[in-house]
Amino acid sequence: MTKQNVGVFVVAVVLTGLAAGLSGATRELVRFSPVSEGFLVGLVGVAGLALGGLIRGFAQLLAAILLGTLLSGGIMTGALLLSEWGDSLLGLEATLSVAVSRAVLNGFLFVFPLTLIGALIGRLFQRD
Amino acid sequence: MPRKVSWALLALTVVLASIWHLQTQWNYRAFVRTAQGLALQLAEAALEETPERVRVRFTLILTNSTAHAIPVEGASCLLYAGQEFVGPCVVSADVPAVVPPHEEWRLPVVTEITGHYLEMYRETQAGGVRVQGSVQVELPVGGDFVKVTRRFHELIPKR
Repeated sequence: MTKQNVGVFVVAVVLTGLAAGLSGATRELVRFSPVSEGFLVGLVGVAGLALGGLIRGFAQLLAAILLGTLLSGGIMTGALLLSEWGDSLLGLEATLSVAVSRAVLNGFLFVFPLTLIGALIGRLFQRD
Repeated sequence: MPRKVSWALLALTVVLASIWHLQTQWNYRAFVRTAQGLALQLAEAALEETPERVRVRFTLILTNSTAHAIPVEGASCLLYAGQEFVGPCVVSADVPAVVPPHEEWRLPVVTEITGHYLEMYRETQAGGVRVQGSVQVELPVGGDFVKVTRRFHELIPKR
């Protein structure tokens, strides 16, 4: 990978992780969301689609999706902790444990499959 | 798909996800603040015991310190003597109801433990009756309402 490709890879992974992480956290609080779950699913799919259009090579794309999923998990944990901050009756340790387990579940059942499907579609439209 | 379009799409997803998440957090915080403005307590509790029957009497008080009218969907509770179930409560007021802002809603409950449950109560030789139940309310979120259950439990000792 050239230096420029590394830059594209890093920025694309960070942006995808951000979009997927915030969508996953919003999905956890969907009763309070201004949009329905379908929009959040679509948003993660579109982020995957864009990622698929930016990253060359299947192995790199897969690595980008995995890293994006991991990053989204961290962002989801932070966002869910923030929502419970000061209000939870569970205590910090239990709140953290709930936030982490929700983030892991969302990461592997929501973010990973959606970005993968989106990215595979995005690869079909890849052009310079 | 040109790379510029991919970058634009990715940036758009981040912006939309951020806006929607911020709005969600805001709505959730408002919901939590409203929930904190509701207090549920049990008052005027008494356990009257005669050779023929046992009467459990108490009043549930839901205090609404919020600026919203809170609809109450229902209330239910169960009675226990030690670990033994000794019957459901009889709620003696009309529900659903609406608790106006800065007012309280009182729900009197008077239940007699009779028959098979009375035998169970006597067998356990418990020092009182444990009341365990919940009140279902609707809290406003934006233009909508979210159903919430408030639980309570209290031990009413023998006189």
